[in-house]
Amino acid sequence: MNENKGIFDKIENMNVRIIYILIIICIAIPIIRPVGLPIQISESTMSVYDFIEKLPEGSVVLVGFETGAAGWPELGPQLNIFMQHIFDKNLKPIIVSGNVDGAQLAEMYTIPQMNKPGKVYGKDWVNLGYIAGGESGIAAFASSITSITPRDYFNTPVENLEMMKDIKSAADFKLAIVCSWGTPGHSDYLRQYTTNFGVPLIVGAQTTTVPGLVPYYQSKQVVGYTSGLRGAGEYEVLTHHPGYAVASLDAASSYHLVVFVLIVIGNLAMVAKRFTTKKEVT
Amino acid sequence: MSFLRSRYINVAIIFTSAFLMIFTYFFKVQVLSDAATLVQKTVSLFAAFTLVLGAMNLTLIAYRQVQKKAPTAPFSVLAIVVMLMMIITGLIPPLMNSPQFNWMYNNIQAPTDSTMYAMMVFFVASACFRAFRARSKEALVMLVIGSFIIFTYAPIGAIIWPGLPVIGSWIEKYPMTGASRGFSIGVALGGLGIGLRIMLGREKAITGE
Amino acid sequence: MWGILGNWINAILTIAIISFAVPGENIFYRIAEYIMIGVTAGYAVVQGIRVVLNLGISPMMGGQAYMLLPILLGLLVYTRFSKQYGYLSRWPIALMVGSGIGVSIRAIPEVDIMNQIKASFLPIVGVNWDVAVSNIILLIALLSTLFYFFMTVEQKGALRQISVVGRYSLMILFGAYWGSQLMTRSTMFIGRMSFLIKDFLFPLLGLG
Repeated sequence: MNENKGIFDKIENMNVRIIYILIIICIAIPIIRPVGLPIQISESTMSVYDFIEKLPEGSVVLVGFETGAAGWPELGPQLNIFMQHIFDKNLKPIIVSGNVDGAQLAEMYTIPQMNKPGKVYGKDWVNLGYIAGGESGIAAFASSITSITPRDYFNTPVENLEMMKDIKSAADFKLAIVCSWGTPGHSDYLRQYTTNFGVPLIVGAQTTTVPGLVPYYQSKQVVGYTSGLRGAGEYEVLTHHPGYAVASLDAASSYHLVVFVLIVIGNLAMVAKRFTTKKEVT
Repeated sequence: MSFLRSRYINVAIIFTSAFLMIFTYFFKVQVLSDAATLVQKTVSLFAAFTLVLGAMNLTLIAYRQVQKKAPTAPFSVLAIVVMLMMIITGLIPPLMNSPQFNWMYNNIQAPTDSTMYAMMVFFVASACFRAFRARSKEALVMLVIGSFIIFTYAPIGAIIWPGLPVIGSWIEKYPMTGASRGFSIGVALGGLGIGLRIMLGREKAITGE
Repeated sequence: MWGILGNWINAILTIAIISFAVPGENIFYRIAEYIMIGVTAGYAVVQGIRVVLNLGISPMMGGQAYMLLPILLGLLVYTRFSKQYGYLSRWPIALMVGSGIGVSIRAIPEVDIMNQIKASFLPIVGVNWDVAVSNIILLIALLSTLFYFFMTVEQKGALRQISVVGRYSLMILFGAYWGSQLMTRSTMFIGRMSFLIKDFLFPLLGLG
């Protein structure tokens, strides 16, 4: 009995380095050899897709790259596929960011990957760069774009950009999309764009924020949302642009399965230890 | 001069600016709306000034460590050197867009930033294994619900049992939404309360003694 | 050449930080950590300079002379390092706090309270029985969660049972948060491993 209890103790107090190595292996293998698990499309992702599909050509869409490099693995795939869909539908995106490096991420990692034949910067899309000041900055941007971003990411005066000639405030946006790592987040966009100017909002969410976001989707304050890497994968399937997200979901599945098994083992060891201790006492 | 040190100046600034923002939201008076936009623009400017504070603090810390000959002094000097490299390449025209700056961002900042956050994957897994035990009914509920949610997001859930993501989606749509809504309403009410307290100068941590 | 060097530096820094997990804290991790701190601070400085130029100095030079005042007030932020004049740094902070509070609390009643309450009145008649039951469950979860935080009434007897239901509702919420955390954390690491394997190792080994 003491030996059994010792085994359960050993299991419960297993060296964490073993777990770390297991995690590295379980993520690396599906990256090297993807399995290709099927992805079901969720209702919220479908709502996003349907809304963008119905937007008239030439509609101005605000795209908030509210993330830094840290959040890019989860939000980047969503932003990339949203931007690709926007370009496919000949909509006109305005890129902004309340994060210091969000606009740079857009220029370095998103725009170069886009398939946008014939599209010209300044005429078909603009990057207005960083908006300092958090929600105050967003509020100012919503009221008067040039008050807070007089120059774009490339330091060109905004009035010299052909696309921006008739766009003065958030009232001219047909849609706002936000992918946020923290703040500014969907709450700030809801308060400043949706409530103040009636701009419909789509959220590309970190999976962690989805439990807090679902009530806003249910109340129709948010048109739709995608959840992290899974949402990006679903959207890639919907738009027929399978890419990084679809390829990486196998690794996510593997990790989830391993963690679940570890939790079950830990709990079984706890129950077995209790059971063994009770038997010893009786 | 002691009047300038008074916390009532801070309270007056906070109250006036907050009231201006709230008033212009509900009442469209052009002059006040323009004033509000100017205040917001000023706040943006102030935020830009505060971005430099981190670098100044880092420099001060490094200086003190070098003076004291602390063991971490060489690392602090390294941080300062790298910081200066980033600033110099960033100031090369075009501002924040030179190939050198982009190179540093792409190969040094982005990978270190994202890998540092990625390390959480290990600690979450080991914490789940070591600490997530169903010792009570509440913990069991949390564990079971969490398991459904895990397999709703991971495509393997539908392979293990097609009902897993169906049940997980139902949990998200109904009981979780209700609880989350209650939580959000509570947080919103608390936020309103705190905001009003700060506006009225009741929060000494913000306005000073 | 710079591309290859950059790729190698990228990979070395990534492995140095990951090395914290398996062998534990070591000098390579420390070096990578301090490099990260340095570049992040440097990036913020450059971004700050850019915003001050675009929002303050350029407009001032272009005729908006009144922008001199916000620039001078913004410089007061740096007085926090002075014991004698440190109180001046509270003024720009006060304006930031006041403006931030104003823009957020003006919309909170509508966004976070009124619209949320309105959306909770869901149909239970004229819909399928499963939808009706689900809507009732949502309402029970909402009301019990709100009641759980109700401190002005002593929670005993029947009221205590509502509070217990509220606690379990919160456990459902926390379970959902925990489950979604796993996806976020794994995604971060998958991004780095993808780079190491596909963009660094595979080309190095001449694989596809």
